[in-house]
Amino acid sequence: MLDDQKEKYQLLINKLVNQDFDINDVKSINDVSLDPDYLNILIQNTPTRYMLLGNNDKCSIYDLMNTNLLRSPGGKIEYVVFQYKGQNGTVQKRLLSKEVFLNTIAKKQCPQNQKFGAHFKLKNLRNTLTKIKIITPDSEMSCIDNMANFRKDLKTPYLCNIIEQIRGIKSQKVKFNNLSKTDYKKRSILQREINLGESYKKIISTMAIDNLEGQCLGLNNPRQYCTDYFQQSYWSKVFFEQPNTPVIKNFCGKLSKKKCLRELNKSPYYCHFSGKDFPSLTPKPNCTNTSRALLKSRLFANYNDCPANTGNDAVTSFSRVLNHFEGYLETPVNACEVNSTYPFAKFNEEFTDFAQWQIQLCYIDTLIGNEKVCRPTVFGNVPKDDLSLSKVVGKIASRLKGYSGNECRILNAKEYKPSLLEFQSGCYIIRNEKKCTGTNCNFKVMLGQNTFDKFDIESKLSFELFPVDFINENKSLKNLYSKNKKKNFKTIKNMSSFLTVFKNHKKAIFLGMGCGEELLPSFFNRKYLNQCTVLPFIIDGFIEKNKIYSLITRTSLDQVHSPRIIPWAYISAAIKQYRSLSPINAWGFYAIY
Amino acid sequence: MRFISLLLLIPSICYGLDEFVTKQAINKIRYISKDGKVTYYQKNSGELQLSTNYKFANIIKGKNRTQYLVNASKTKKRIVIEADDSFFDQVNILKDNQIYVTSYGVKSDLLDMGKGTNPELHLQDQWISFYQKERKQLIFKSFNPNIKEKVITLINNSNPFFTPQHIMLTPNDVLYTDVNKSGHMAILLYSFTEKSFKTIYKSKNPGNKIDLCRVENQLIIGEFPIGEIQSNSSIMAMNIFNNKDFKEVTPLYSSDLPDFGNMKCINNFVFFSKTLGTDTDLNSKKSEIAKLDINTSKLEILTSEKYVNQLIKIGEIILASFKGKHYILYGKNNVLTDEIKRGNEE
Repeated sequence: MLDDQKEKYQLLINKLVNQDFDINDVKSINDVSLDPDYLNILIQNTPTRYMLLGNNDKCSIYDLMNTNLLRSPGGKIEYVVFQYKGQNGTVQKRLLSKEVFLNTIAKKQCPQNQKFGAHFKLKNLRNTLTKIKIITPDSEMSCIDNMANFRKDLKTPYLCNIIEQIRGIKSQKVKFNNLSKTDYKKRSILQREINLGESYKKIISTMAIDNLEGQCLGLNNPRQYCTDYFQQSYWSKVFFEQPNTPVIKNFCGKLSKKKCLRELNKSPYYCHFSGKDFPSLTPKPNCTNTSRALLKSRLFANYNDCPANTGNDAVTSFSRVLNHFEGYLETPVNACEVNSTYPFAKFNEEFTDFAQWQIQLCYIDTLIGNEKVCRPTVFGNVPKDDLSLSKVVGKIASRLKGYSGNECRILNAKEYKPSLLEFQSGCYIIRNEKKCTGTNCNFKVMLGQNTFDKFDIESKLSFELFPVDFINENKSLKNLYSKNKKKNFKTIKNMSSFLTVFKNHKKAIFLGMGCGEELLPSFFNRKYLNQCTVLPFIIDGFIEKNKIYSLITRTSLDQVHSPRIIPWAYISAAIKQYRSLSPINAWGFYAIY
Repeated sequence: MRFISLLLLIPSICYGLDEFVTKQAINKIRYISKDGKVTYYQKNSGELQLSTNYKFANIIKGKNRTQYLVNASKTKKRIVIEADDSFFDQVNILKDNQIYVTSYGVKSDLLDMGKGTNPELHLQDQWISFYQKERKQLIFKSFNPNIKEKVITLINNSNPFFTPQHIMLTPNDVLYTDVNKSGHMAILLYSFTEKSFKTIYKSKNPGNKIDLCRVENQLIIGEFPIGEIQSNSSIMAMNIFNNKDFKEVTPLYSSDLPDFGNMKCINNFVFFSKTLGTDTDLNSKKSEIAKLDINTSKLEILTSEKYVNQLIKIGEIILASFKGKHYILYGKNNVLTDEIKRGNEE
């Protein structure tokens, strides 16, 4: 079949190759069209996905020709066979080299094409790309819409040409190496092609190449492309969409983005111990499962937390609920534990007058008759908030020592170098990193060259996440939150009620308490009768197979970007075991919406 | 309808395992002897009580809702207690609890050993060890007041929630587990006299966990993958004494599947949770309890419940728990014999 076409094509060319063409013989330039036989051969040799781009009009076919997406049996088109009505009224067939055809006839028929094409010439490409927004879909439906737009977009043939050029590098290199060294002409053509591909690669980011490649290859089957896209790695998507997002900061650390993406996509075990700046339970899930879980996850997680540094596991989980629904964390702060403690403290400030956040700095105020004054504190720097340790210490120093600044600077012991001039004045809080969590922190304050210690740190964090008796049940966080923020807490006892709430309430998440020995049996080995390592956890998604379910779960020990896929059977067993220890036999698993 | 009722009456467990039944509600019991004559149980009001021969005594009166963990060694001279008085209102896995020791089966003075978790009695109950999470230190204390406390600080900085296992071989030599920077777990032998340690076994993969138990002069080592590391599971025996550089290791069992492990040893048997199949889509494992004979390496599967992950060793009884009930895997349930008879007579 292909040989047959090759022959036909060659015959067509040979027949016309010696015939002259005079543009003045053309009666009307708009009547010039591609020869139907010639076009048929091209159609059969061009990938269907690209032919779809040429369906709009004559100009779109010329775009395909210009971008080398339209193919002859020999590959790139060298000649164009066309027909026109001559001055004498008869239909003539002629042949021109592709360049001449595009510069004489196509240029006149579609003057915009050439101007447009110039933007994609190598010298202009970098500038052009800065103006192009490559949209990454956030759902399968929006993906299909995007693909429909991509198919209509005049830029698409030019972008796909770049992708094809890059895709061709490997095979061209192989061809090049197999050529005889004396075959200068072919070698120089191939070298030019390789160079062009390499130049494109330097200009376009890896993520953009991956994304465009998917779109170009998926032009003829957008539905399939979109299904695949949403089954593909979370990592490629997030790198392209939000390269500076906290999840990338967590997993990549100091690795270059390119290297990190490769690790995340190609080395599943890379994730087990990554994110050392945000200490949490290790080994974490592998990268493949993390990606699968994050794709199904709905919890707000545009921040990093560090469960091992929070100092209280219920604070870690409850603050994730607050961050999801309430927005206390407008701007995530650098000290990861504060991303958990600050929302928790703010909620307490708002609704319990710090009854459950008894973490404070206390001092004797000599100006008001030696009265003990305590200021609620969050151990970290939260800009512009009075709970911030830097502000609290600043205010106490100002009150007792006449310090004129508003706040003190928080440093780790390594950063404080008293011999430097900048540390000779001002107020510095020097944290002992090893002895500092979000709920208890050892630090020293320097006012200029003098130690300032006229305060005490009081740290008592005692609260119940779920009620454990009927007298104090309204003091539990669940009831406080439900009452003050008008949130529904629906008890979930089985998968069908889970699925009903999950599907009907798009923002719903699920909060539970269970025993680690059942929830994470690889990690927790039960040694004593009725031993239970209490783990609060959040669920925000599910995976189903033959009506059996595993849920996307973040225990309070897991980093917010490392959810685990845990079978419902383990989760329900964990809740049951915890219930057996509850003084009121309470089932601790709720949907919140 | 009648058919359905009949099905519901069929015990959920096959292989004829007996359910472990007790006089008190089992969720209140913290330790029970094989014959059921010594029982430690707790109350919501914060008491840990001892019941023997129809008598009872208060051992500790703690804060309301204090949770206790109680264990005894084979020697049964002492009993070790971990008391968490903020179980419900300070949920923090890194919290150290109060460790106490008292005489086994009788009310006697309660010794406060300090703060920590995971206590163990050693060397005919002459020593106790426990782990202090906050300081990352293993504490070894003798009940002889003339012997000074000994301390080992762990190097682990790759898993902040790691709790080591610890076995005292002699008053001067201990085995314990630790994790290195790359996530490899290892068994270390520490000599208090030489103040030096030796690695006697290192996990094959980072993230694999090591379970340990001692059977006479043999150390039984189980290596099991944690989480989703698709590597093998294995159990081996190592002679503790007369084993130069601990190079002689006898393989007892291996599997291509990632077992949960959670090994418990008794006499010549190792009980552990074995994976019989995995489902990577659902990230789940079909796991059952297996019994491994140390002498013959014969393996026997004891349950048929799909998700049996945990075992408990109380004295000379080994239990598996699932679906809210406990089943006896090893040892006899003499606990209720008297009680049932008395009930019938009445």
